[in-house]
Amino acid sequence: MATITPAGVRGIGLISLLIGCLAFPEYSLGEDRPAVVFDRSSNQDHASTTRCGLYALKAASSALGVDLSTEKLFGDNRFISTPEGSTGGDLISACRQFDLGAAPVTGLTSQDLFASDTPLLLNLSWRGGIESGGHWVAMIGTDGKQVQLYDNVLGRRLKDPGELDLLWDGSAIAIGRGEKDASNAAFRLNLISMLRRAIWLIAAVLLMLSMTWFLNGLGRRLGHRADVESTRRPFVLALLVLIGVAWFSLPSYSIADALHVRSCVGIASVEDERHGREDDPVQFIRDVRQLKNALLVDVRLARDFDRGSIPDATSLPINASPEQWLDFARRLENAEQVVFFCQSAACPWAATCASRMRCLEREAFVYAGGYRRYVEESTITPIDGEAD
Amino acid sequence: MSRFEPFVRILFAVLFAVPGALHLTNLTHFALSVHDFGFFNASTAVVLAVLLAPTELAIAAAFLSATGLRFAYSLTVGLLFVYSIAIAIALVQGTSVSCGCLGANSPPISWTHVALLGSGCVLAYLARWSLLQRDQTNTLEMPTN
Repeated sequence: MATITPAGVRGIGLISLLIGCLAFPEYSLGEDRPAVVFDRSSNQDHASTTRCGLYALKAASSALGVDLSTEKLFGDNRFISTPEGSTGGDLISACRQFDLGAAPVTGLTSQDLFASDTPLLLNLSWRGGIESGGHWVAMIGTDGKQVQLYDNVLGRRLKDPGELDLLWDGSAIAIGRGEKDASNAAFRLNLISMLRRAIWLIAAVLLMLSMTWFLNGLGRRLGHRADVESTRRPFVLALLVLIGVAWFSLPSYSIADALHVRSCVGIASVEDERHGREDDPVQFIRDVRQLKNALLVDVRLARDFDRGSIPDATSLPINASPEQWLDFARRLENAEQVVFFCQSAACPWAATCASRMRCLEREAFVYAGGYRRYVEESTITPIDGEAD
Repeated sequence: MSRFEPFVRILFAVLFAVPGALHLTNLTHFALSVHDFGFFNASTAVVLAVLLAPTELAIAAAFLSATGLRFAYSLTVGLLFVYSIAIAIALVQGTSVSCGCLGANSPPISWTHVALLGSGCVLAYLARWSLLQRDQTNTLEMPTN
């Protein structure tokens, strides 16, 4: 009959603890909250990018059941102190003006959002990419493994948390019914965030000890003496396990594609400033129907896209938010060609977008006739012939 | 040096534990930081992020658990050397990027980072050398049958 030695008991304990620790980062401490009843239509304002912070604040307060007066909030633009829009300080002042609590939090990751029991204001940006300023969105709840976001451009939607990490620097403003609520929420978020990181470290130490125990046991059985301090085998085994865990914890979307679009757009913008229109590389007009695996991109404003567009077209408005660029990057994965179009031949936005995309390593075209020509003819034909 | 070795070990454990855990909990941002240096394309930056973050955490865990110390010190010397060279090249090229050492809110790279990482590299090399000397002494003193 097999007997369990004290070393065996320690080993089983270590491995159990290790499994528990590794499982913890996926555990959500926050309850899934139901979708907030929010009147999207009355707060949709595609054109206003400077008011995004105030719209996000209004959504966050709605999630708390507090209805902020639109007139007082937007009235004399007193909560918009920069040409790009509201700063974090503006939004905190606005909260205090309306007897709401606001507390800034930093150093979070998207997984920490699940531990929040209060709405948060997040500032999304490309961090040095195409936009200098950021875009405020409200995190108004969670739904399963996704977070619910709201902004005035895209309305309410569910977002995969991993995607946020590319656009979000981990800073947020916790909104509460009072200062105490907001401070408690901020403290809780910081604590959970630190705990999640500490758990990873503890898991790694336990993994290292488990591997040492395992290899020592194996060595004794085979009659070898293992020098724990000098041998590299436990280290290498533990490292391989950690790399495996890291690989499987990568977000489902292609970070590489998103990074590529980000750098591509950033670089092209700089070159555009330097060379102006002379450097416009877009001379391609081709029959869209002949292109296989082509991605049709409508660069008109979102409100125009909502009214109607070419079937299967993707919206990437000229004033696209970082999130929309990210969505676009994901759709690019299966596309071999990208065809941009605008309202009509007089609209330069399609060419602008295409020139920004020149380093995408994909063929880029402009359908110069635009949506108007498509509607007139109900078919897409080459405008000026085909160019290489 | 051997007298100070435990302190050096704890110092390096902390030095690698904090960024390692930060990077591993936000691999997307770490890939972004690696990519921002401009040395690698996007795909390589993602692969490097997946390899480097666990390596940093494994080094911290090795120092804390006193497992594979010589190997951990060798990796420390290698990593700190590569990091300091990468930052120095980026500074010479005039690239303004975040150091990525403390997650998303890291300060921009500076020559101070190069100096600190270079000093760490030398310290880790000395600690490794000290460990080797101690192991050789122990081997010589070990009685033979």
